Amino acid sequence: MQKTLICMSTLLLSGILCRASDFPPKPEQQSAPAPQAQVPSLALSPAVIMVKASPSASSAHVLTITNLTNTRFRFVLEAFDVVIRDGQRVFVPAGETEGGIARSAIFDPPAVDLNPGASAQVKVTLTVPLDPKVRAVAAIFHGLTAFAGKGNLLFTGSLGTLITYNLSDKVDVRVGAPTVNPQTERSNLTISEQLENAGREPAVPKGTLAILRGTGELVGRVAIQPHRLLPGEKFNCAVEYSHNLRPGKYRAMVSFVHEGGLQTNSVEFQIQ
Amino acid sequence: MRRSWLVLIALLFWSRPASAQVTLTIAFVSDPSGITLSGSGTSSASLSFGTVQAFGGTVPSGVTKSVAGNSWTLSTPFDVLVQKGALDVIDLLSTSYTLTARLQAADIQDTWKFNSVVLSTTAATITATGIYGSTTSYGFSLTVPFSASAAAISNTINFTAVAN
Repeated sequence: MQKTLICMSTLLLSGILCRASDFPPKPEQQSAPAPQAQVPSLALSPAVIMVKASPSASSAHVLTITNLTNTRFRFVLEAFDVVIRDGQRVFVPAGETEGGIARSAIFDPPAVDLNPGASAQVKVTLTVPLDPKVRAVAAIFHGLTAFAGKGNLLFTGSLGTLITYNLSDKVDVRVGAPTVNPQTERSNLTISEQLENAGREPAVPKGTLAILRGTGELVGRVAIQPHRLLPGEKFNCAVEYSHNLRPGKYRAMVSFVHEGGLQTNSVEFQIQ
Repeated sequence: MRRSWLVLIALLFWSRPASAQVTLTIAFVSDPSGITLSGSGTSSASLSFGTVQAFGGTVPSGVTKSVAGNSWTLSTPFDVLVQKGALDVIDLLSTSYTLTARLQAADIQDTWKFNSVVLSTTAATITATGIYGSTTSYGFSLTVPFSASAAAISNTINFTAVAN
């Protein structure tokens, strides 16, 4: 296995299949989503805000909630620090995390009532503390309206905007050695790599899997969708190659690019 | 000197949000093999188990009853649909979502579960890798101890979707 580290970086990840697109023979099919049916739901925009700031900086963001249902909805605004515990994101109520950002959240207005078809804007102002320990906040529109039906179990929907903070350029994403899951009659060739964000800043690595013959000729390429990693977060990136490979020697090259640079790993394998 | 202060103040308050936007929507949907939700397809729904008992009687269509040594459980699947806006063709900002759930009112007697995750008034993660546009089935169960006296059980479960 040959490992080429072009630029030091940091990365991490936890177990789902990366959606990918093939190239060739299909030129860059960037997995355009299928047309989505319009459902009478709640909509929040933006869902993600990425902020570059410095400690003690304040920033204000306007969030828009739209009620596409036939029911009048009431929401209260809540802020949570997003922290990583045991590799999982946990939403911690404002004020419960040392060095948290959520405690500074000021919502204007702090609650909204929305008639069917109506939209409302809420401005959230957040201030990064001098010694911040977190890099992400979730601003939640907590729905209080339960369906006025006959049921004794009610479900209400809430939506949140993820706000991430990059306070420096020191991104440290670490990529593990790739492993090969060979193709079978029932499954595609899968290349997996463990990504870990070992730094203090969020990162959004994306990449490409290239399959080369033993002679170095390019056989095919698969785009790896971007995946956000908060500090401490891990991700097992498994990339499928959907074409059958003929018997022979091959090399899989996996490259990830992110805010900290580019990393490329490769692994040789044989198809019997 | 005054200029330096202005630059310092500007640096302190400088922040630069990303310009692209993702829109998120959430809806509850009846599962084909589960109980029918009132308000299915919207962001606010309800279900009713009707009047049921540990031994004997019938349960609504799509609901399974199981009896253990000291408790009994009603379970049914139902679906949650979280979508991104149709304009978000390129998944630059978010490729998955986190779904959490919490009870509105504390219940020290009964056990409420979603996909084997026990619910409380603190948000618990149901999935950290939700797929946009995919109607995902989740198993819901309510376990009642034999020690509970006959009474109406009701609660509200709040689901929150946040982009990853």
